[in-house]
Amino acid sequence: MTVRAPGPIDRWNAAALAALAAGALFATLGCAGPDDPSPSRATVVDARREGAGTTRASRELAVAAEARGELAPPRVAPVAPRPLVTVRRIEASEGEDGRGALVAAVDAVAIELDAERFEPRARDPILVVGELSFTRYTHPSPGVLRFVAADAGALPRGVPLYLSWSGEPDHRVSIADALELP
Amino acid sequence: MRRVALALAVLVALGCDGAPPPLSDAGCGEPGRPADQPSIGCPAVVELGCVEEGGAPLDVDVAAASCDGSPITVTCTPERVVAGTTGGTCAAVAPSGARAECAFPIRYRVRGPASLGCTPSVTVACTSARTALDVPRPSVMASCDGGDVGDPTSDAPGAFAVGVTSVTWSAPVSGGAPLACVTRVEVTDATPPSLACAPVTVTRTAPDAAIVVPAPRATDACDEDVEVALAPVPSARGTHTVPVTATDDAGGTARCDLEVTVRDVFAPVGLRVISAELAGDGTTDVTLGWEDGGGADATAVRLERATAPDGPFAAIATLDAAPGAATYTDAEAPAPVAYYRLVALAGAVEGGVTAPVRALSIAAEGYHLRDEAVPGIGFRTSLYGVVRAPMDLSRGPFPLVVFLHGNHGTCRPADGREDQCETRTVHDCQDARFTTTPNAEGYLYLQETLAASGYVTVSLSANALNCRDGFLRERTQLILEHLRRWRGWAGAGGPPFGATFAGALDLSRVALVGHSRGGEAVAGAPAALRASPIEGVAIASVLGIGSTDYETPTPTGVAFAAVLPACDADVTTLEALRQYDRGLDPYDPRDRAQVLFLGANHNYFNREWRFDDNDGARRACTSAQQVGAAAQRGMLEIVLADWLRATVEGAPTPAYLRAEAGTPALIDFWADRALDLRWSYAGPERLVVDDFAGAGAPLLNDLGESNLYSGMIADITCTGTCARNFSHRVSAVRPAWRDAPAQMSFALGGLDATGWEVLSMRFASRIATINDGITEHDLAIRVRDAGGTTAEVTLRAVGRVPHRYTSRFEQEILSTVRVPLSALRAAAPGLDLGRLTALELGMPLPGGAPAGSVWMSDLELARE
Repeated sequence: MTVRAPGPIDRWNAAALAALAAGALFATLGCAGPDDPSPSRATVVDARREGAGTTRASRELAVAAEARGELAPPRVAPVAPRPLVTVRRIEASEGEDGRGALVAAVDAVAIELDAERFEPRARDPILVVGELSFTRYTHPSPGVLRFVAADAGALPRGVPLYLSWSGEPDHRVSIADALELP
Repeated sequence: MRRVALALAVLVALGCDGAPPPLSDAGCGEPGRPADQPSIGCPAVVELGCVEEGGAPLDVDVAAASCDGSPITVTCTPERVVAGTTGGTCAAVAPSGARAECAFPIRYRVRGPASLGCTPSVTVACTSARTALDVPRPSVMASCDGGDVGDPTSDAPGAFAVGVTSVTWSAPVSGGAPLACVTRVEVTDATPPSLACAPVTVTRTAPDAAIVVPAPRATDACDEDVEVALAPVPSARGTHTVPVTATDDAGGTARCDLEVTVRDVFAPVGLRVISAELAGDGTTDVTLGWEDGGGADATAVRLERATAPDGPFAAIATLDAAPGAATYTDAEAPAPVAYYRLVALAGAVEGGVTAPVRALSIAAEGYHLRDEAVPGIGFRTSLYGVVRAPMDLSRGPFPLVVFLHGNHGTCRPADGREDQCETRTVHDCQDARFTTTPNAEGYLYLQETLAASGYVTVSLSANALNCRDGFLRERTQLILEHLRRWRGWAGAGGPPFGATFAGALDLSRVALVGHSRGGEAVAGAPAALRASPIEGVAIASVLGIGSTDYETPTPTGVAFAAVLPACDADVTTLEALRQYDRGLDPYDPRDRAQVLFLGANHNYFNREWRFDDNDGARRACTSAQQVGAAAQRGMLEIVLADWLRATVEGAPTPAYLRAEAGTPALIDFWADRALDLRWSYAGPERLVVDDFAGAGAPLLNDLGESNLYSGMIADITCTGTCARNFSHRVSAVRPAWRDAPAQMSFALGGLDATGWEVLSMRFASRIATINDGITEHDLAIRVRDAGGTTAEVTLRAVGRVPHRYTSRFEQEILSTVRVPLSALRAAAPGLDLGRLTALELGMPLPGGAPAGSVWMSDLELARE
């Protein structure tokens, strides 16, 4: 059992000031830099609270300790490298035309990305190839993010490939300088 | 002794036997006696017969003698008997002056009416609380012409209290009206009471409890109940000297000074179940939380537990008292229900006691129905639900709370890395290298807390709908299908639960809680249910957390709340604010709330979403800028419970949720940090003064009156690039001022505001250099009435408009400021709320920031 006083009376202000200060530092440090896809990440463990069960954090810690017998985060195994993008022809009845329509496949190609670098989010990924945008995606197996273009011949050559997300027009991640078809 | 008989009167009254009256004993020859000591004998009674008006002479035959035979003189009084005379006396006087007396009653009748003659007044000193006294009998005057008068009787008590008592004598008259007279008996008390003032300590158990000081004991020989007065009685904690006056029944007084020590040992406030958890052994761990009651003398609190609300309670812990808030986890809560209360202590002295709170033991249930057809979903799929409910369902019916997660990986690698996506139509991950991500289990912490508080909760799996683009409406349809199933289980029952939930649920007030895409799905559910009703099922409340807004649902007809995690690195646009905006229908009598939760990220509200969405380049906040997973969950645990209590159970909406108070200390304590929560709130009953939309806006308000903007340094309207950080779906004005006085004035046209409780408006600080250096805005809020009375409060006195928050995707997000009309009345008691003519917002304030710019919207009157 731990009993503590709350923060300072004007804790709103204090928190806001701290947050603003931290935000300024964040911007100064250039954290809005290039968008690199991130590898898998470590589990977050709240291990800084005191006393078992007196706060949400200590309660979670106590339960975690009971369940695992220890508090350390799970060990992260090394990951076998996987290509960022793979393009291959597939048998498909339909695919995207890159202009918003699902059409009958002519010469379907699957453009598959390493999904471990693009964890699933509330936002949908959009594959952009030049002026074409592919929005219908699937994950045929864990770790694979697949877009299907209906006609390989219609894909522009020599244009960069990048991944964007719905609702985030200013956010894009470069996939390749140019699409290489098999 | 020689007897000398003297004939003294014409009439000689003889004894009954005709013999002369016996002489008294003169004590002849005794030492000190005069030699001529007389003795005298009066008749036993003198009968006069009828005495005429004017009286009659008294003639008495008296026997008298002296010890030595000396002559003696005998004198009798009265000389005449008149009405009222009751007796006479005779005295024998010897030459030496030695004297003997005797007395005799006189009986007679009078001419005229009979009468009683009372002794008018008798005064005696008290001997005790009630003083014994024989009241003199009255004389009886029978009439010569009337009947006999009986013996008089009285109403005299056996003993008399101090003071005056009237004793009435009465006597019957044969053949006539009874006679009566009164004797005034006065018992006096010349001795004042005794009073001792020993110091006393009084324990006050609640801030609003009256301080009752026990009166010192006062004693008085003749007053059993001495009146003791203390003035003035202390009104605050501390040691006080109180003058005490004791007054007895005779008005005698005594005084002393009483030393009174008032101790504040208030009961804690807000005792509640803030968390509950199903332990591995099937028992329920109950975490209780409370806030300090403010009593400065409380040294400890004793937590007590019982199995019934009225006890008996037994202590389970005694905890040091401290300001702020506190929690305690009971790992031995009895099943199926426990009641808790707190007793404030000052040493060994008990102070205030809280009302008991109930904690229900939790039971785990669940279902996984495979290959089910769901209307609106284009493939057969899984119906998977994680259920937490009160163990004893007979205590219901309980409301149902449905949770729905958002888009997330469905396959969990064994090595601790992030979950991966696999597009499937079923709940389970199909790749044998992975286990199924327990997305639905991520809200167990909320479910179990709510179950202990009396809700049946289910968290749905949308794994089969994850890892696809869109599928928002399908998620809503998934909710409805589960509700259909629950209707069956709550009715006649059925597989897999049998009759477990039959009759145990109240589906007329379902609550929905969704996260991310699940948040959008629950926001769309009210409309979807209206389109496809389920008999007996109604949604009362919806809460979305970090919701998306792909399909732009408008949640109306239900209470709605949106949690906007300020460090959301996934739904960075915090677009659920638009759902709040779109649902602002003044004719929809439900609560609406929105909270910008500073430092919260997108993922941590789900305990199975283990990684910070701010990891990587798409970062809204650094780790240091975030409050952390446990703080996020701790906040939601309490806020969700408060929200559901208000919107499902009809409890009052807490002040902090209405933007009328800061974050409760208990939330900060449980979160283990001071949280910055910025609320918008729209109560069930509102009158729109100006929504800044429609014809004539912003120069004409919704009352049809004019708005004036003076001293502004920029256009009051702001669109396009000017509003690039303002993504709300409500119209707003943009006042901007610098150095010179500026004012927004809204004519109210004699608006009758009686019956309304608050003036509500929303503000957002603009992300603009003009606001550099400002932490919080302030301005004057003035209301004028038709009589010219003006009431003014400052914004900071009633709310806050903070400038900015930390996020790389920061926006200008509106939050509510509510001005209680009572505060305006307090500022100007003469303000006539029945005829308001204008609302003015003036800036800058003297001594404040000379410049600034904000958004303002949603100017309303509200009841709650």
